[in-house]
Amino acid sequence: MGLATFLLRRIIAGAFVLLGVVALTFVLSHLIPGDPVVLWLGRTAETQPTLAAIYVKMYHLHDPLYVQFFYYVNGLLHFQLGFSPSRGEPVFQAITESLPVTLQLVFLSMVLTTILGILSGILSALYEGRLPDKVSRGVYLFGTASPPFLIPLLLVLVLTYLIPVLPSGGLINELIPIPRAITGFSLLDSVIVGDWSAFGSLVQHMILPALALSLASYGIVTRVLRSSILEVMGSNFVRAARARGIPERRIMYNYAFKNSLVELITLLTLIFNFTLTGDVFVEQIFSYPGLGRYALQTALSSDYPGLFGTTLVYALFVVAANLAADVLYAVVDPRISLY
Amino acid sequence: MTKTSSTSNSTSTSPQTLVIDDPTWPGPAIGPLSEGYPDWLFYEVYQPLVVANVTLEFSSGGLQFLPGLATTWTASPDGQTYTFNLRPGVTFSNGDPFNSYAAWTDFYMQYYMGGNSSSFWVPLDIFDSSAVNFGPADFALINQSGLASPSSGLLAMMSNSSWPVYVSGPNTIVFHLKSPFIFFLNTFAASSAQIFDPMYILKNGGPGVPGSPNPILNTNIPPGTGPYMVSRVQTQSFLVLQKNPTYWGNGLSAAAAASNPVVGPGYYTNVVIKDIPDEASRYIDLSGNAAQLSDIVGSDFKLVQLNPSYTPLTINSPACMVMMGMNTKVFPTNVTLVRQAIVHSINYSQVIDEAAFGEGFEIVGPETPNYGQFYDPGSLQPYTYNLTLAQQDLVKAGYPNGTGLPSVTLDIDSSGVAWNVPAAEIIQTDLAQVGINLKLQVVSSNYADSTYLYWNYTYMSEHPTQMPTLAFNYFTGFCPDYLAPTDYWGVFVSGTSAYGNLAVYDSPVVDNAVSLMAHSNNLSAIVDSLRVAQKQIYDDAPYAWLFGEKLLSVDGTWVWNKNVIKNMYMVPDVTGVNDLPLLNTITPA
Repeated sequence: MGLATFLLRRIIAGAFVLLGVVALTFVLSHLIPGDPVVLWLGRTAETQPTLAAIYVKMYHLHDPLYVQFFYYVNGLLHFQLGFSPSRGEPVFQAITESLPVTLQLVFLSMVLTTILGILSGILSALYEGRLPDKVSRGVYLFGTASPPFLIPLLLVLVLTYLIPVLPSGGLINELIPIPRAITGFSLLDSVIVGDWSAFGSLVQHMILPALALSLASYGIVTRVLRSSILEVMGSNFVRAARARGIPERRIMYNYAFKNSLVELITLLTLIFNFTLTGDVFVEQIFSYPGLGRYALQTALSSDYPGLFGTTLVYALFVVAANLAADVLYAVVDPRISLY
Repeated sequence: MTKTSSTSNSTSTSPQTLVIDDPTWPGPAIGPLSEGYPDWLFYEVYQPLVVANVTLEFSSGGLQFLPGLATTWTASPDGQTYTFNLRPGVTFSNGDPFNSYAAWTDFYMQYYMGGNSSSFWVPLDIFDSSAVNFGPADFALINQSGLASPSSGLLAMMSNSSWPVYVSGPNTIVFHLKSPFIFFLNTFAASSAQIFDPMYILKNGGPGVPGSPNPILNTNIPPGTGPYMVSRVQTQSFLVLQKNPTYWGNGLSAAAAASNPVVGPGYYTNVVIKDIPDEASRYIDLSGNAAQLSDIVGSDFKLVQLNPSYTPLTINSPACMVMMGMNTKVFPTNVTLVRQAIVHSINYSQVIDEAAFGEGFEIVGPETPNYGQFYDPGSLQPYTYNLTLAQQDLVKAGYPNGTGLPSVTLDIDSSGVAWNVPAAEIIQTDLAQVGINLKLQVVSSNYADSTYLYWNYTYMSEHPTQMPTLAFNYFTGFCPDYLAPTDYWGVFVSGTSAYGNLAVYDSPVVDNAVSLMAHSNNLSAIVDSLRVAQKQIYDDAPYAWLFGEKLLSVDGTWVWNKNVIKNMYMVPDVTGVNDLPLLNTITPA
């Protein structure tokens, strides 16, 4: 099957997945008892009934569920995500403000996860059964098994309080202006405009949340890579390479590691999805104003338009990441065909 | 644990910068039209016409009003017309002139955004706005004319005395009430009274439409006349204020600023307010001097109490209170003697000690003691912990030792579990001593907020079984929207309650007192009616008035290092009275 055909089929399938996700979220969120107008407006809903009535009309809250869903999907088809009552701005604007912040963090986290995972995976494989392997496994098991709020809190305690070298949270030093938006990614924008003060502060504030995310997930990379490398290292072609006198380091890199890449791609896709959706806790603890914090806010305040919008964005990324992984398989391993 | 070393990454490297850690980002947005809570900009950026005397309020609890943007004011003999003479020569921080035309526009801009309703001012029907239909055409007229020297057409509209608010000169504005309201000046301690630059809003796309405010204003904050102006906003992250170089109060003498601290020029050049939802991070920031003022709650507050370097803010004349409502429409709490048994079974001092760290005091509801002659005019004593009396009440009711009574349920809002749970467990133990079985039920905050906490009385009385049998009021306690007893009475014990009447309580005697408070300026008649009404409430016992809260969040408050900050006043304002520091009064040590 050609790449174009493959992509088209997957995109169509992805669209149905997204619709299903939005529909499910729609129904589930409306099952929660309570009046959303009261949640959005608080006591104002009762003291200013005229305003409350405007909200009811705007969001069709007294219409049947299927009618509300129809209006929402109709809006989606016109690229209208609605107005976010908990944020006081259009959902699309709220997402475009917060998504780049999260993607920067996820990117840095993925880099850390990959580096940590690969290094510790190779280390564990090289020293299989010995102390470095045991220590490495202990560390990543702790990271993987810990509840999502524990590592962030430990990092804050150690690197902000006991050894105060990093800020406890936030996006940037508040007295340093955020660089002019060119790409929307403040880190990249600071490089483009040459604002190294802002760049340094942005990186400084990203370290702890990125580390928290990567420490929770790098262990999976380590474990899979370790197993994969050990399996490859025991295979016939590796024995043959050793017999021909090829150095062990070259065997490790050219044979073992490269043959483990396919599994690594699968893993990194899963980890990307895990990191993107799991950063809600991290962003909340580190006061990082990304999509995760916004998503949490919409969920807690029954901000339906915001909730649907953020859910849609997350679903979109998961679908896209899975698609990218499938394509990369074929690139990395020519034996794999697209079907 | 204590650490006082500064982090090299702190934004407080400059002594001119104050950093504050706040747990809540103002939602839905910052700005004068968003009704955001907490409202950091009221008083600091946007000032009202009159301000409360905070020195008096926080020393003896008295209420007195001092000049803000109005220098003098008069009330007509019938108490329905208030005329304010505005401070001349004042400008907004961008240079636009402040005058009566701007104040007029502010009122009607908010009126429009509230759906052409004047209930945005206070949740009482005090204005007759039947003649007013404000809309986009009027904004267009204002935008075209400007407010420095309005056109004749615009002036005619602004001077229309059939409207509740009108101007009678460039520096004179008039508020006309539907009926006398003795607490009208008190309503200026509500954020709807804040003055902002309406021309800035009109030149930046306008206010928006009701239900859909202009989002540009979330980050392009309109200028005000206050001692500070907004220099930077990062949504859900931080807000930076810096001193307003054109502030009219910058030239105030030290004595003048001390006599009216609300209008003082402020000490810190920059104030950074950071949104830090995590409690541990807020405590760590305070400990490491990354923040000089931080909101500390729950178990971390105990650490503060043990550390002599820290000063927690406590208010000896608070406007906030905690109570437990008892549904007067469902069995068994519809039996007055059962309710009386409950109020006499509770060990109030233990609740205060264990749920509020000892920072509370017993009260006679429905209001707090800072309202002078309006508080407890009958000199009633708070309900006492008296098990003998409680048991006698149950015998009289026909339920000796609770025999024949079903279990009752106390709903706890999940957001307030840090203090709700210990308070509830004490009450559970107390009631068990007289044979009343109390079950505790934690409900989600969303559920509580969108149902029983904000239903109006009419709905509650028609659906009493949907109301909890017992429930605490809001998880931070109740704080009034403005500094007057009408808010408490109107909310908790009135048949016209728009929200919060947890006891589903109504009495003609009480309703008469509430009506008189809202529509009369006959002081003695009001006090007499309150005396009678309060006795009625006291005997009916629809609520167990647990305590007046000296801490801002019941289980926590603002804390600072006394080596860094000397003292401060709190803001006497809206939707959480007394819960924000008055930034321009924070004095460095």
